[in-house]
Amino acid sequence: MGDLAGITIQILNGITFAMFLYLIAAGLSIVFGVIDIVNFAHGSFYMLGAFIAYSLVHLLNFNGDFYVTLMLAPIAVGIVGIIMEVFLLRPIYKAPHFLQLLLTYGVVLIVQDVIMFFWSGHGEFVKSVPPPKILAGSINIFGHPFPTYYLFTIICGIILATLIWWFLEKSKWGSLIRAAASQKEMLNALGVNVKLLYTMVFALGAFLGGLGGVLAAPVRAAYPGMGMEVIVECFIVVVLGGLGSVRGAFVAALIIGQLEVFGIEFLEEFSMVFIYLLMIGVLLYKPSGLFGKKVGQY
Amino acid sequence: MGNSKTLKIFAAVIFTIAIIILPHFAGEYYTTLAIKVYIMALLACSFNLLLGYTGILSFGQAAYYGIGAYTCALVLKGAVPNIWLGLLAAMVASGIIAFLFGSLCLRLTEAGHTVYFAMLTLAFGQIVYTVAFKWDSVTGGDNGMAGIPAPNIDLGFMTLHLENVYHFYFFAIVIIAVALAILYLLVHSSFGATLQAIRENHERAKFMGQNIRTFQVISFTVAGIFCGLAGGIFVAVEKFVSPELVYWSKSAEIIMVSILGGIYTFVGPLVGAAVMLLIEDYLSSYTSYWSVFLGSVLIIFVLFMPDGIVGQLQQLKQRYSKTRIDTSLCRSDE
Repeated sequence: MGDLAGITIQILNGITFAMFLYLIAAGLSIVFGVIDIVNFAHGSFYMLGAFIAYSLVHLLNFNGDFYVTLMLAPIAVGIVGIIMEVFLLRPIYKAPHFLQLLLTYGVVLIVQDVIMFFWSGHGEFVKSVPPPKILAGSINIFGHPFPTYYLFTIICGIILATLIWWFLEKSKWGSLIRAAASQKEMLNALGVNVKLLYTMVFALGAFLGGLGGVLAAPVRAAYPGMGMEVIVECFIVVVLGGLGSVRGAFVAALIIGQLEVFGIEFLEEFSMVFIYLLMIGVLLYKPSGLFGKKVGQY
Repeated sequence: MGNSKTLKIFAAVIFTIAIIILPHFAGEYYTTLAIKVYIMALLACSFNLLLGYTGILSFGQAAYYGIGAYTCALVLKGAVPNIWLGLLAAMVASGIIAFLFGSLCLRLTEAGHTVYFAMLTLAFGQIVYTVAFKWDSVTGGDNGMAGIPAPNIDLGFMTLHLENVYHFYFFAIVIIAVALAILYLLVHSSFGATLQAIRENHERAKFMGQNIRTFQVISFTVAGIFCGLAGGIFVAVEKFVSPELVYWSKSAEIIMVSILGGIYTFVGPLVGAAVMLLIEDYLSSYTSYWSVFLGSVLIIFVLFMPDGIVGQLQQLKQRYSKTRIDTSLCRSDE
């Protein structure tokens, strides 16, 4: 550390970490912005993604099939999301917020045990998912080794961020989703099937959460409890970026990624405290976050 | 009417006697479990002062529980291992921090979104967790603190040996009963009425000349104090404290217990605590997959019985009495 090359590596590490955070937080943020539900189970989607990836990797024997896994696992998680939205969330859209929070927490508990049951029955809790062979090595950056898979993650993250941006801002579905976030009744009156739209939005959120899980699995492995850990970090990103703002989540994830990497250098163990304080500060003085709309609009 | 009042008093007396003689029939294990139920009851009841009576959702009550627990542990392991001092310190520490946090952060509830305040409390809870987890030299870090002594109490006519679960049981029920009585009096005072007015309608309460923020801060501080007390009692009975106590899932558990029992009544959270811990104890002796049941129970309650066990029972009772006397329909809640 200290020299320029070392710092570059640290910055890249931070960006890698930020990409995971962004993918998970983007789903959480879209769901909050449109459906107005704070979904604690979003961390469970991330965890499911990682574990399903683990199983698929071992099923498919993993010779260049990681890309298949990368698609299949998030789709599976998306389907779980659809089931959850249709059967559990639909009946309580008009209920008070704390009941909605609690319901999603119930899902957290259930998913936690389902994962323990199917994947960790033999006392082996941490499942490592090897990256595909082509991405397993490392490349040289200013004479320092940097894992190829990290680079792959960064590229994936940027591509996905662009796709999500394009989807929300430019596509027809995106404009409907943005309309649903601000004027639900109007959309209903125009004959749009808002119910279906909500289901699709929730499925998209779950899909992104699962995708984050799959991408993170080779780096962070899959273990029960990873969902509970990540959800709090995601809340920070979403709050910092502005509740409901996907663009804000991207910027916030980059900030948090750098803070985590460099915070450990300077503040050692207490870097997380600093990040929580940052979140509290933002909520207190600019509740709408970096890119959020005015408070009370949702 | 008079008849039902005598019945109530009779039931209360029976209930009190049952609680007092319980350790005679229950073994050491179930006596300890009963103490844990009472601790959870105190936690849920003080949390409900916030959600049920003041209408603010805190997702970080575990922070005050943990602060109380660690403070009491430090006192008991310190130079003057006195349980009264430990509990007092626990209450003071949690109370001060709850007051500071409340006066800083409660402004957000006025913006109208409960979620913002919930996020703030969650973040603060995680700060306390991180400090407990990382500050090795004081909190013992990941391993926590073990072997916390439970000193004896000289009552003049007898000595309570707190190492003994049965002795501890009586110590705990007296303290928790006093705490619950204070909470009961509080919510049934004019202070409690104002809190409920704020919960029902911010604007109206403001126009009536009430300083909403002050009431909310007081409510938050009181809840913090009693959570701290619960933490202190927990440490004294468990003789062990670890960061797990402060993790955000603990805060969620407190909310769960309250809603399971019913948040719009005083006894709801108490019933919830008993039901939840007993289910948990029962299931965990049969299977390690009990949280899937817990989650399902939670979801069923949210979907079908959002008023909780006690709320549901009250509705049944009302429906029953409605069929007998139609005039009771005049009463309209919400």
